[in-house]
Amino acid sequence: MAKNSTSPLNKVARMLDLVPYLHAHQGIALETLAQNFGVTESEMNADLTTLWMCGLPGYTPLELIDLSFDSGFVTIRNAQTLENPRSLNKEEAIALLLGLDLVRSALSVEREDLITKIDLLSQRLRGLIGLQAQLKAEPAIDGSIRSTITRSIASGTSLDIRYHSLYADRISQRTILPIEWQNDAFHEYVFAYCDQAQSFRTFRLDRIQYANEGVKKLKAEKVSQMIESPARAYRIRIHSHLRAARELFEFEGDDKELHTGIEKEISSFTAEWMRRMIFSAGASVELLSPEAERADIVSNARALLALYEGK
Amino acid sequence: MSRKSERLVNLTIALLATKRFITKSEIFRTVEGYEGSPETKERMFERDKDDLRNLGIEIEVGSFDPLFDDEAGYRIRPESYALNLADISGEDLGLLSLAAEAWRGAALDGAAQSALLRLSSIGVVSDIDSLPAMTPRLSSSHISFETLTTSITSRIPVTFNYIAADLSIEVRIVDPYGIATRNGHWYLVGFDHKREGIRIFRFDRIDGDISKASKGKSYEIPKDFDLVAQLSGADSLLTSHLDIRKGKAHVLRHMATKVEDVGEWDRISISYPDVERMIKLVLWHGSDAKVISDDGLRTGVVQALHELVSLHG
Repeated sequence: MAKNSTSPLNKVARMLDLVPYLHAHQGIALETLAQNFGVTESEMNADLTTLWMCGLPGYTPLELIDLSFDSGFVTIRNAQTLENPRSLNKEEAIALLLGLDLVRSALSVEREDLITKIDLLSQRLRGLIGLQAQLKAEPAIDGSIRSTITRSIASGTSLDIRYHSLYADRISQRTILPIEWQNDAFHEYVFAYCDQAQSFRTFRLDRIQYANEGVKKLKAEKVSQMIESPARAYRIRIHSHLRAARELFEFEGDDKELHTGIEKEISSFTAEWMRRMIFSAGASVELLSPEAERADIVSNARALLALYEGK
Repeated sequence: MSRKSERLVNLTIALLATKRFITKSEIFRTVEGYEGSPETKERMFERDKDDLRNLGIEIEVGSFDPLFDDEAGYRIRPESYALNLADISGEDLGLLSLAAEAWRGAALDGAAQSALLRLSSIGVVSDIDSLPAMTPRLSSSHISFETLTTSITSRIPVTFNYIAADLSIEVRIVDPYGIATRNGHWYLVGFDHKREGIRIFRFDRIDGDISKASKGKSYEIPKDFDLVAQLSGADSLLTSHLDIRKGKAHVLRHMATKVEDVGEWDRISISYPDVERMIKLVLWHGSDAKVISDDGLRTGVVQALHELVSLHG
């Protein structure tokens, strides 16, 4: 909002919104007012000065909007015509509709009262802009958790997390040392050393409800010694399904030049994870090296085929 | 600059305060800021009308007396100008604040905040305390919502470059039927002109931005269109039976509609919309999952395994 705050049209929009806002918040501090409207105090001062000259035709003191703001607190009088807030535009209504749907899906079913309220509000908002199209929002993965984990991977510091284990359907508190991001075609995971399990575990990002700097510090050097080996380099060749490969492996650098037959180097701490990636990519991605892993793919696939064909 | 904004505010007040239509000449005479030659004033007024309309303010054009062919008059109806959401309670306002808050840092942050500003001018105090403590967030996207929101409200087709499965870029023309988020991704669902069917587009696979289709004609959204069903492909679910190792393959286990203990393994039934995705998921689980039913899923998995062997052998 602040980006174009000085364009005449934005200024008009702001002044029209200022009148009802001031009417509902008489005596508000200029500083707070500027903050709430996302402009500087001097911009707000300029708006108020302009508004002070506006009013009904005739423009006698009787018809002009009566503002007082020189003491640092703003009050308004004589602005009945603009007293009611303007209706919402399409973008604003859609923003609220999507937001409401998100809140709705985040509410527990017991709050039926609120769900009913949201449905009523949505109906009215849709009516306001005559919307036919459908909107649906689901809670996204909390961006702050993602960035906390990314920071922790970079700095080698441990985290306290609250984790919802799908399998046990239980919520547990854990102290982890995140090592790397991993993802399959469906979800994002963080591969980490878990203090409680005294071993390495994979945590699905959308199941982490909370992450904060760990009270107990896990030593990064000690943990890294426990990993079978440091991150290993894997060389792959992409044969088809370029988009899927790009989204799965998240190549660094410019991946606009991807083409079939291209070779890429990626690194991972776990051979197990790499094997799963190659498997789930079907035959669209080939593992070139290390040789031993390549041979493993073959023997694993053969063993699995035997399972299918044996019975 | 402030002259113009002052004139526009004055014009809004004048048009809003009048009960009858007022003519252009009345406006030029009484509203402050219209100066210069008749042509200049005329041009100013035309631009001002457009500007107010761009702000979403509806200016009504009519005449004084239907019996006479009078000069056209103008006014803004207070009912169309003012926000009318009927009775809003403090709790309603609290919910709307949460809804606006969900956009923090994401695409419609600005619009959400200005909507909230207006709602807080109604004179109702927002009641957040009665709501459960939560801060759901919408994920951000590189697509600007401006074109998209006008398109879906005015039902105008949009066009964009879409990255196909082989990374080639194709121009698509789509009648937007809905927008949704799922698993942290934004999706546009609509009627694809070239494919002549409903298709789903993931925002991060759109190269560049979305724009209005130049030859776009307004369209109707079919009454039976169901966004949620469309996204989950619920109208064409496939069912397969799998054996999964005990204590393993939790993602598959979670999807199961039925679990049966068969000794070393658990036998599960799962329903899914997309066989290609399901093949990947089964392969992901390696020797922890085996398709039992004789269907496309099994064929797909076995074929992929053969290909893996021949590729790496």
